[in-house]
Amino acid sequence: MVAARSVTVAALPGGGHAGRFTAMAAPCEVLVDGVSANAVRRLTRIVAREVWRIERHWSRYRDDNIVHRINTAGGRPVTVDEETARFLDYAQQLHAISDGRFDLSSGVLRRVWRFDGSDRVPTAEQIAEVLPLVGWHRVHWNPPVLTMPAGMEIDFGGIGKEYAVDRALRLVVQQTKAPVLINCGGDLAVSGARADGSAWQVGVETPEPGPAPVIGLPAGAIASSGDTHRFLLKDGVRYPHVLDPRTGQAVLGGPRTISVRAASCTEAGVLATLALLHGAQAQEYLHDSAADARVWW
Amino acid sequence: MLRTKPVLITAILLSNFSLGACSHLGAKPWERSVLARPDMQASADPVQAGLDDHVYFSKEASSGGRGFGGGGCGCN
Amino acid sequence: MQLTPEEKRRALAAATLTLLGGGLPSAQAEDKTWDIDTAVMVYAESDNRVQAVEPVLKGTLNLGAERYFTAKLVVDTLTGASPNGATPASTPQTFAGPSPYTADPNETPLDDRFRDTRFQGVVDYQFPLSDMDTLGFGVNAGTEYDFVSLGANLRYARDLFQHNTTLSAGLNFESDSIDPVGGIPIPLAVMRPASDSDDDDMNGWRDGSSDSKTVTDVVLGWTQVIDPKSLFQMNYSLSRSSGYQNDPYKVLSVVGTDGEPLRYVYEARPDSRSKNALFMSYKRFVFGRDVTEISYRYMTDDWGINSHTVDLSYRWYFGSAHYLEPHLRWYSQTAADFYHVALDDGEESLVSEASADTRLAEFDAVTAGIKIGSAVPGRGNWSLRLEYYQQSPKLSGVPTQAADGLSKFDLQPELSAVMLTMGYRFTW
Repeated sequence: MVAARSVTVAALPGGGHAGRFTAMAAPCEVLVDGVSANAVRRLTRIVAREVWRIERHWSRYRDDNIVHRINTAGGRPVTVDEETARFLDYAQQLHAISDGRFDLSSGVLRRVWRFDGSDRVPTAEQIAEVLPLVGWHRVHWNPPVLTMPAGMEIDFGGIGKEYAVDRALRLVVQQTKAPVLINCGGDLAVSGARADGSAWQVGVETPEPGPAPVIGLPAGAIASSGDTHRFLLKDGVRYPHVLDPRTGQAVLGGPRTISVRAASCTEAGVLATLALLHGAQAQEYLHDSAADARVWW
Repeated sequence: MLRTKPVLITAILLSNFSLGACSHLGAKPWERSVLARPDMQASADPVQAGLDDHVYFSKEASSGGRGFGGGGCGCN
Repeated sequence: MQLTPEEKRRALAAATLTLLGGGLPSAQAEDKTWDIDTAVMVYAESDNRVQAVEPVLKGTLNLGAERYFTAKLVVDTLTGASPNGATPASTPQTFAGPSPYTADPNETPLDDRFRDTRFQGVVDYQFPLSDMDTLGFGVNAGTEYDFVSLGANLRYARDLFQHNTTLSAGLNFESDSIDPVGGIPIPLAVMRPASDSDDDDMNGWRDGSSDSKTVTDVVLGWTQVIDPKSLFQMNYSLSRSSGYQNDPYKVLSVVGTDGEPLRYVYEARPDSRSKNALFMSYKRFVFGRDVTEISYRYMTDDWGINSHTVDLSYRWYFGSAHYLEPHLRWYSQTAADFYHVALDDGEESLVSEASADTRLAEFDAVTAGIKIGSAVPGRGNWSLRLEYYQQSPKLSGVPTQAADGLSKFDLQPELSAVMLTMGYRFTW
């Protein structure tokens, strides 16, 4: 899937400019306080190139990257690059911290769960067929070599966007002292407060009608997870696009949207995702984790 | 009386905030951007403060207050 | 994994930092930067008294990983005249010494031999011992034509509660030696009459050619973040000075019942001084734009002096990066136990300590000022400050028998001064 690879700059009402591009199937925006339109264009290009690089590196739709090599290895060991190795280390730690809820190998469940708004919920037998191919505990990760049974797949899509936002931010702040905000489809991070010391005012998309609530972000990042767009509806029960890799089942009774504020977009994204996987206990999990979060049921 | 009024005002201002339960005191790591501003530091302008300290030391009997971090003054 | 939820959260935060921390091409990897802070203060008292110009140059080198090396140089050029402690008389008064000077009738006698340039240097290094504590140490040296000071300090600070609380302890040690022109006068000895001033040896009233004192200070501090917009700080300090405390150039007038001077004696202070001080300050970011601070200091010592200081400032940002900062300071102190305006005839043999130095008198003082400056992040910033200082003395320490006779003179003229400071700070 190839989207237009270009960066545009638009003037903002109230002054300043925003740099825009598309990546990971989401609209991305870069705001920089107190610099010219040309500087915004230059800095947005730097951000865009880094986000596109990560997208190319880990997209499961390409046939020329490490993810393709891993997913077609058929049980044979694959040596991965340094950045992928770091991400796999991270995924391993998260798998342990989350008691198995966070699992990079859960992507194959999409073979039986197709979230098209229909009522075709998979049966227990269908899930049982695919479940043996899910489970990080089946993966041998001996850095830098990854070996997993044939038929299993790795999917970086879960927090790939948040990771890209954080990496692009770290790259762009080496090029400017001006405050920067990077937002890709609602997952966003800032380099610090705005030039006058005030917080960035960020609107958060929620399932409720009406204007989006505004959150002040003086530092750090916000990531949101939710099922607003993708779900199945059968016999009045809403099956959200939230699958527990330990059971293969959708997690029912959870909130519609969670927005988390944390020091990085990646950390916020992990908290939001794990909270959704706690279903009805989402708020409790966020509270116990001292997470700065808002939940919409 | 000039001598008592400033003390009274200060006592009222400083006692108006109460150091409540410790869990509410402080800022989370992602809430610290205002506190990181140069003008919000405990010693925001040390060179100016040093010049003032020297003037008041030579005209008055008291000295210091904020401590001597960042180099002594040799004023004593 | 048997971790508590808080431990899991911390593990997540740490793992994320490791993930994001690696492998970025680093343009300014190991660049060390100097933070240069310079200022010049011009100080001028009314009635042609003391004038001073004081340039300061300070540089802090950021060595990375929270390590800082600082060097500072201060030059202080003083001219003008300062009261020598004697009271006015109805006739001209001449004071003896290597270069005698005269006061007009009914004028407070001023010693105008005050041309001096003082240099002071400080070198300091501060570094972290861990994520939560730092250590710093520094040495300083200062010299005037009759005075040499050497000092060293050590500071430790520890952070608690995610850097919301900082506790600190500091120790400062200083050794001063004074070598006045003409030697050290014998305390309470009579000053030779002016007609004897061609006696260069100054026989009889020299106690020694030089003397010294040491000062030790301990400071304990507590800084507390109250909320994301405000900060509270409290310091307790203890200072002990022992050795030569006198001002070798200051005298007291011994007056008859008519208030006219009979003779002058050199001052005598105790040979030690112990001070305690408590300082508190509250700083707050207000209206989403401005910064205000209020502070209070109480000092008490074993010379009988107590003082209160209240300081208030408000930094008003107009425009995105310029500010106007009005400032007010109130100060008041009581007199030292041994402070006397003058001595009665014969009293000089009865007291063991006496001084007429106005620094030790009872007075209130007010400072009012305004500062304007720029605060653009990442660029050089300038500031300009104009302040007015006025002391209002209160009469105390008047010798009983001469009180009526002295009342015809203005015994405590007000001191006022204007201070103009220009500053510039940048990164290099």
